[in-house]
Amino acid sequence: MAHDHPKAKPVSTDPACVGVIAEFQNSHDVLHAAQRVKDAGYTKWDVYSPFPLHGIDDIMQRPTVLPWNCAVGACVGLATAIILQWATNGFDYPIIVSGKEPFAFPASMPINFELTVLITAFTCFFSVILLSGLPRLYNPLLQNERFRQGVTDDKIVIAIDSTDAKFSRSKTADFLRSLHPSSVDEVMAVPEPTALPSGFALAAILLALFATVPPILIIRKRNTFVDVPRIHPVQDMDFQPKFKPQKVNEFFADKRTIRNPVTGTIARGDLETDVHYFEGLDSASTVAAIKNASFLDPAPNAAPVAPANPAAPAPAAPVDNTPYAKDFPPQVIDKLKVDGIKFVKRGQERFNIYCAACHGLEGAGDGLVARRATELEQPTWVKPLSIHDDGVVPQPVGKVFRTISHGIRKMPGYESQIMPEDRWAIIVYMKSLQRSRNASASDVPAAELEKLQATK
Amino acid sequence: MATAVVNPLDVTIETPGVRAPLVTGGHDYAAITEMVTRIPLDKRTPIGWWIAFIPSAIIAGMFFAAISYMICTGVGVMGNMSPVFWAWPIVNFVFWVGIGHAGTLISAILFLFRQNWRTSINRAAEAMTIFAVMTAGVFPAIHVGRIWVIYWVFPYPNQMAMWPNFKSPLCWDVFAISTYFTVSLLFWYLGMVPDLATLRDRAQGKIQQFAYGLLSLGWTGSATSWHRFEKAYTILAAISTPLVLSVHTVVSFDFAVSQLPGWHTTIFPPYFVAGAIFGGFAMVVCLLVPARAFFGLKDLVTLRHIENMNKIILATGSIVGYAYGMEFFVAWYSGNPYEGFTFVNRAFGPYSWAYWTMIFCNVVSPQIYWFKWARTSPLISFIVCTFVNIGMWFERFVIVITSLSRDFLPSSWGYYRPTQVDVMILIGSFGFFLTLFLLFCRFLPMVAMAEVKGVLPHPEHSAGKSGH
Ligand code: HEC
Repeated sequence: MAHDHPKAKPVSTDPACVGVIAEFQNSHDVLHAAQRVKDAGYTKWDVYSPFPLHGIDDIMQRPTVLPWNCAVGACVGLATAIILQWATNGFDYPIIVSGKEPFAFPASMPINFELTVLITAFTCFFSVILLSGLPRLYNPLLQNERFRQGVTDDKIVIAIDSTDAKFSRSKTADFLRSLHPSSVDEVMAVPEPTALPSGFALAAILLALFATVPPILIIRKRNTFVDVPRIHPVQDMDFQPKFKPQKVNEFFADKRTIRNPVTGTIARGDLETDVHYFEGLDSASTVAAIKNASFLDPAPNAAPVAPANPAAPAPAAPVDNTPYAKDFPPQVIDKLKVDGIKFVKRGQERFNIYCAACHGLEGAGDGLVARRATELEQPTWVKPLSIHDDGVVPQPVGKVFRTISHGIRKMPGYESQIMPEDRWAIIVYMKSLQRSRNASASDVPAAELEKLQATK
Repeated sequence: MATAVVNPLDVTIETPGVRAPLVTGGHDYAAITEMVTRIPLDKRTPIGWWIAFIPSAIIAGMFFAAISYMICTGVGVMGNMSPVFWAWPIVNFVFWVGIGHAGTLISAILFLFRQNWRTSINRAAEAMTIFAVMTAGVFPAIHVGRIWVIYWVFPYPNQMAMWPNFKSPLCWDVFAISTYFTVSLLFWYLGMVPDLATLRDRAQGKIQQFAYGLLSLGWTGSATSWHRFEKAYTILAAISTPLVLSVHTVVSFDFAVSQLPGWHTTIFPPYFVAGAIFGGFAMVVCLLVPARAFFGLKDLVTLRHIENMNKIILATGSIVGYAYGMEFFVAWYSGNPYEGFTFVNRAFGPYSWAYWTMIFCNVVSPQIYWFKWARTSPLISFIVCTFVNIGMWFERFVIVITSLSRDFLPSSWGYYRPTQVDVMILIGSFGFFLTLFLLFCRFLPMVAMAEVKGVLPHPEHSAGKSGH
């Protein structure tokens, strides 16, 4: 056993002898001999054999904590697995698959099991190595030729260590001889070779030098300026062999990658020629004028940045020559004649769906989104303008139509969501909202007025 | 039997009351040491070893060449194509992982059941397990396409704030396979430490002494360390037993937890485990029959060992056959038209050739083992086990390919064909596996000497008598 404690200091009278070994030919004799060694009161001794000896453990009585280590390992493994799965999938980034719990115990069982086994196995492995005093690169016993030749082959050896309190070089040897071994030997302390094998130092220095190369390269790269793109060993899909719109394409005679539509193609919106109804522009203008005007139109994004103070009216574009339609298009007027209040209600409904979130149900600029954004003090948020703003009320209907269609400054366009007729319906409703704030008693039908006055 | 004259050398004869010796030839401890250490310590490598090694190494080279080509070009060079996206690599993966199971069964389960005959074959079988799992591990890694980000399968904190989905069977698989590999390796190495010490003590050359000295960790075989060693060995066996059963169970979850007809079935875990043991033992026999003859280990790996393994192959082969039948029954009994179609399609559809190959190899061919002359003939064992290996590969092929190529929507059906690269990778994987196994045979103790010595009859009371 003492051989497994390399730090034990020899206390024997002769420091050159580290122990006495007795070699036996078969396991039967060894068990007897071992019992006698134990009875003689030795404590630092051990039996060396090429295979585990049955019955020796009962004599030696050297219990081990190994199974308990494994039990701890198992608990650590299980806890690691549960915490790992809960913390990642249940807490840090819950993933919901098929509507199941982010962390569910049954689904965690396989990994609980695997990690329990894994950590137990590691604990078990390292326990057996360390508890047996291994790894041990130098052992004086192995310097003894007889010991080395026999003990891993077919002989069994009892060794009594010189650190044992009862050890005495001659008496112990005599005692061992009395056990009828086939031989008894003294094991001498062969000084542990301190010189490194030749070439070892050189190899170590070279290795150390070599190991500094990668960090040096990394430091150098990090501290130098390079104007060529980095090496890109794994390209993923960063570079794809495909044509982009403005690139030259040798395949076509005109070398343009972007192609013109085939003759006769009707693109979306091509049939919407009624500029009044679809664009909110004055149809009296010539087609050319419209084309130009639409370029001049203060495009939603091209306009100056909205004022920080939303209460102030948005500054008018420097010169807005766009020929906005001043009146509703005839289609809308017809619709109003037929549908009457139903058309206004339709506008109200659309307004409440699409506009009220920001502008508020009354258009005062206090919709839920607006209120929440103000509450959170979002720095990039621009307060929606009130539609009762002095700059908005006098706007021609065509301009409002274009605002809804294309958006304005921070406000997104709704062309793709709201059909033209509904856009007009919204405007009709918006106009009535605006009117409601600037109305006089004469605007109210006499019957309604009477009712209102009665409630006063 | 009663009248039969017991020939002391024929260990395959069962005589009531007498246990056949586990090792023939009346060898003592020293002879066993000599027989086993001779192989790795031999200064001259036998010509026969080179004859097996060089082709294996070349084929292993082809394996990596094909894989490199695939990685540089893209997974498109493999036949994985709509609707069979999960094709060849998974078939190979399941095949190789299954092979591994026999090793752990021999080293752990038979140990717990005190089947002492395992001692002669467990080392080689465990080595086979480790190499098979290594080979298997290549396939999931390469089939992901972007192998350079394969580490994403592991839960590590990263700037993408992304964790694996622990509810996915594929994630369980990552854990199961890596645990299985690690534990098998620890188990194998721990068991080998005493034998490495034997090699260390008998090694002549400087390099040999240094290498075996380092690997044996300074083992001396003290009773104290044997005591710890035996405890640890039992614990490792006890945890490896459920582990090995869990591994193929989890692999079968990859299929069973999905909803595809032919995959979504509770019979998969036991059926996969039985199949894995079946295929694994077949591989052990295929490796050991030539190895025991070539390396002169016939007294250690006796005919009785071969026979015992053949019996296990017969038993597990019959379980697998039963599972094939039961799948059909369940498909019919469930009343699910998709399930029903899938199984009729397996047997009579476009892949019926694969199905019947599988049936012949796995169910029919092992039946010859009902006859003792077949079980105890190394040549027949080798042939039947080769069939079984082929059959087990086809089993995975049938499961993966038939279900994927024809699922719910006839409009998306297809017919899977492997490409040349696929075939090269499959053949190459055998080269890789054999290369590792041959290196093992040449440089490590092929038989667990310490364990064999432990189960030998002890000299003082065993003169003339057999058994222990
Ligand atoms: C996402 C919030 C949001 C929605 C929804 C929204 N708006 Fe606006 N709207 C704004 C903001 C913000 C402004 C002020 C833009 C600025 O000053 O930069 C604005 C301005 C306006 C103006 C004044 C334009 C001008 O010329 O100054 C009108 C008119 C208007 N919106 C009408 C509508 C109508 C009609 C709808 C429904 C179709 C609507 N808005 C939906 C946010 C919204």
